Amino acid sequence: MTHEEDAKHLLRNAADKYDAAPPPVAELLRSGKRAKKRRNLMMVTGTVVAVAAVAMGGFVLRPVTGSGALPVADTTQTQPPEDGASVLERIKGLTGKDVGDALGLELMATGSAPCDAAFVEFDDPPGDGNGMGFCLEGVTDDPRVERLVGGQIAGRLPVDVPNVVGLRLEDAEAIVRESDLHASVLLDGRAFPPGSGGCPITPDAVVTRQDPVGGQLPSGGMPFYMTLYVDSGVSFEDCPETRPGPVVVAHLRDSTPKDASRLAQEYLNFPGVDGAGADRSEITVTLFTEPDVTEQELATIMERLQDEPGVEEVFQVEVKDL
Amino acid sequence: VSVVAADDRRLTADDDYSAYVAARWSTLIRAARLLGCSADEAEDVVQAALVKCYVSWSKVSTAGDRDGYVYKVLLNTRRSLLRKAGSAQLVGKAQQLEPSSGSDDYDAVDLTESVERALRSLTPTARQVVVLRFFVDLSEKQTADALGVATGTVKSRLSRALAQLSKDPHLADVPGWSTR
Repeated sequence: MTHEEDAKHLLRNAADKYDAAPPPVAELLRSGKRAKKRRNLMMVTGTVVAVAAVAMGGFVLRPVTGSGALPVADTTQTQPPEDGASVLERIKGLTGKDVGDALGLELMATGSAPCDAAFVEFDDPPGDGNGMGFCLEGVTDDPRVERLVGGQIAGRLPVDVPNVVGLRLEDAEAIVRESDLHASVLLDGRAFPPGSGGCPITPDAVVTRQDPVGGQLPSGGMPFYMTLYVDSGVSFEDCPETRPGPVVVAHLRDSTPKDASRLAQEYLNFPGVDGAGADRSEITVTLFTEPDVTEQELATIMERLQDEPGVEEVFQVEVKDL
Repeated sequence: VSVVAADDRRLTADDDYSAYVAARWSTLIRAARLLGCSADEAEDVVQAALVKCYVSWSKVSTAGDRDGYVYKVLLNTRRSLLRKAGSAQLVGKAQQLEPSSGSDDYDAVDLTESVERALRSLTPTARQVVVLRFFVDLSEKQTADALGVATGTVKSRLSRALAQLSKDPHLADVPGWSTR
């Protein structure tokens, strides 16, 4: 037998000794139906809230894509767009107006939001497009929430829209930290590049920044983004960056986001990670590099990373052309 | 007529869901145990995951890889529950061995305990890969999808995990397990 077959026998024999009670099918059906009703109710509530908010004079809806799987028209962008509308305009075949029409809202393209504003997008489980209902359930009554938009573009786009807007950053962080949901906090009103919004950032991370980085690779090449995915199990196939190219991933064990931040600072001259005081856990640091970085440069980075304290695994993935 | 049709669809979906739960329940529970849950935690995690799956059953049932989807939800649910309860507390509870009752089950208990200890020595991610691939018998692609990593990552983690397990002292005396 191969070693793998040995392992299969071993695990099955060991697991056979665990008792498993009969499946509580009826109870699961009851609970599932209750959960489904609750979700549907929340979705209806969200729509009503959104429409009512617009009817009361309207506020700025700053759309941010929520799905990592969305196709994008422009895969060469090197800077995040200045406002959310431009994100949507760059989604293939759709414009901000399309989305606004689908939502029944007047979409207003604006400049940057105030620096102390933050969006919170909830998605649990990540990527399934059901985050909005959970968000409303979790934070509708939160006094820190100034304004709230919920809605899904039914039948048009598998995306969430920003669920909560107008929060101060620390409030957004606190809500995420206190919630039991997968969520990401989008800072400073800056829209994410298409295809990155759906990453399942966990509350441990609290804040993730996907800022353009001005540093240099050891070889002199220019890096692109540094992202922290804390205990998130991000798939790059599900969550591609906007451009194709090689990506270096370092997996850290028993580390904090601050540890990861130090690595990022050292390798990418990244300015640091705000609010990254989570407990020690497994962290994946993703170093997006220039598409034309050479194999030799990558090898150098990976070699150096492998020697860093706490780094358990370093590997390279290729972001495919979308 | 439309109401009847909707009811029929609901009936079919519920039947489909019930059949899936009945068929997979035992494996899901045991997988959760191998992932480090105590008996109670395993039931809680699996039930919570299955309730989530019910809510999105139309999506689950039409997914190309239903098992992969369900295990993805299971892992996410466990992660959330661990976070909620405090990892240390749950991990501590999960370490307790709870073998099934049996008359002369000492060998089996030894094996289970040895495997648990060996699995515990793996990193959480390595443990997940080993359990999904070797116990649940998901393919490498399914495992990769469930964990949200690339297939190459699954291969490399499996390779390292197997190498580590082959040297694990807890498994040294397990019959049929060759240390290489």
